[in-house]
Amino acid sequence: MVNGAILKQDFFINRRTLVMIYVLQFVSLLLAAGIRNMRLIEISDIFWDTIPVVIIPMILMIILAYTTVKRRADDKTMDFLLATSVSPSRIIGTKAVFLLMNSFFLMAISMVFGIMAKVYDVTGTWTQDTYILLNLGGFCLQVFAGGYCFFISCVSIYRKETFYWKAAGSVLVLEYLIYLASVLYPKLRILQYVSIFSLFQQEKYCAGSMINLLTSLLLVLAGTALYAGGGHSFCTRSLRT
Amino acid sequence: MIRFKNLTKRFEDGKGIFDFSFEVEEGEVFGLIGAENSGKSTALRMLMGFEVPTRGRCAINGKDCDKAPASLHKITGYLPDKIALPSVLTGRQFLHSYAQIRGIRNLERLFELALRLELEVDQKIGKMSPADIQKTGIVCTFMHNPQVLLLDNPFRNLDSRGRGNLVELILEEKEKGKMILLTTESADIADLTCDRVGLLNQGNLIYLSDIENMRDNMYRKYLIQFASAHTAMKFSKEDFEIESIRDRSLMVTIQGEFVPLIRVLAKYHVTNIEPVPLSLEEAFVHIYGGGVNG
Repeated sequence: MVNGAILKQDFFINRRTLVMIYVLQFVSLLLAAGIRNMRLIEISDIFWDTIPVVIIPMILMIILAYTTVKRRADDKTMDFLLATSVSPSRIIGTKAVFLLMNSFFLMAISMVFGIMAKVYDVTGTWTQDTYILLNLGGFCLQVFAGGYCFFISCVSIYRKETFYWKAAGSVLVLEYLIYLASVLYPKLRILQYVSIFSLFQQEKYCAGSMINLLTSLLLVLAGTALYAGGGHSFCTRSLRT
Repeated sequence: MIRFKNLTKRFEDGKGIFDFSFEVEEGEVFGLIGAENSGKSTALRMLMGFEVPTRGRCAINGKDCDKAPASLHKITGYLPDKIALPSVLTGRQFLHSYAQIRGIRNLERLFELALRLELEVDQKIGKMSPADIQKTGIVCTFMHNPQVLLLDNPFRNLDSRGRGNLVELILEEKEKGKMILLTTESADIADLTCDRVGLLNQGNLIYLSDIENMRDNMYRKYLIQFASAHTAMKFSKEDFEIESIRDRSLMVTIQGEFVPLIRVLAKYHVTNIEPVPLSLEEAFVHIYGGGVNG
């Protein structure tokens, strides 16, 4: 299913982006640890359950989905890959695995760091177990975000670059802003029904609600379907017909 | 053998290639000549199995390109047009990773090719000249010693030295019995390497011939400078199509062989001769008729 040489090439091409994202992730967690020590409850959760769990991994998915598929098609590296005897499904499958792996490792490593620094215990209501559950839920959200970006990247191969950034980056950011508006302004609460991010509500992990299991499953299923849809569109080749 | 049989690929916008039928034998270089968007790249992409035919078929060594692309890719080297490659890698890193994907362990040929093409592989691709990026693509295409070479505008961005090296390489591969199908926008480039050519206009193959026949049919224009205006005037009375005459310079158009012009010019005091670049429409005006449309 996975071609090691293609995986290695993608790591190599994206190494700077990965380093940059890991630096950002650790900065946010260090800030979270500092805020925890200063007991700044009002702003603490931004730095431990929002930026490292939702925002930074989502940025990584938006960038990687672009650089592994759309960008490679534009610079003709994809044509060189397709000209080898590696099948298109294996090429695109490897790229999907590359995205999932990066999302998983980023979240797993930052979760371990978060546990070590106990970034979550500033309010006294979170435990290590609920923090782990939160990160697992965050990973499910990133499966969806990655799948969505991957799908857009695959269908935008024969389109302009701006199509990708509008359809993937802008839509995800807009969805997140709608979610934030629905949380911050009670009058706009109805907006939560139009944002996919409503399926990942951090505070419910603290309460140990069972609904999280269902919403996480939904996100993973939707994300998997999007990865599969992107792969199918890539393999059918004649996107222009 | 590469074979196109009534192959049609029609895209949504009405463009594509229509009813292609021709063959390329072993040890032959075939050139598809056409303006931008005339269907040259589509023809090569069909052979790579990247596009599904609307009608007809194309095959390499009897294997349908649409149905058995993976086995054909092992014996095929494909150079896409307008390559850019990942700017963050060096040429060496890119070539090395591509060799790994191809399963090539012995990198000797790869570096030998880079040396022949005068490619500095340790440069970052982002800092390479367009010619060096093109050379990197050429090394990728030839590195696994393929039996079939599909080269989409291989001379793009190359200077005259680079062109010379590539012509040599293509002719060497031809000598080894390889099948080579290349595309170009220039009849002069096809003249350097090809045994047979096909002219394309809006996805239609409007002219198919061997290279000698193409030369006979091709118009060429030269700017000739004589020692004096009087000599130029005297030459203008010869049996050639004179486009213009100004002082001691004269522009002449010839069809076919260059030799008769040289023979006549030998009798005059000529100080300079320069070829004037012609568009395909001008070089094959009697074939294109209504003109070339991309």
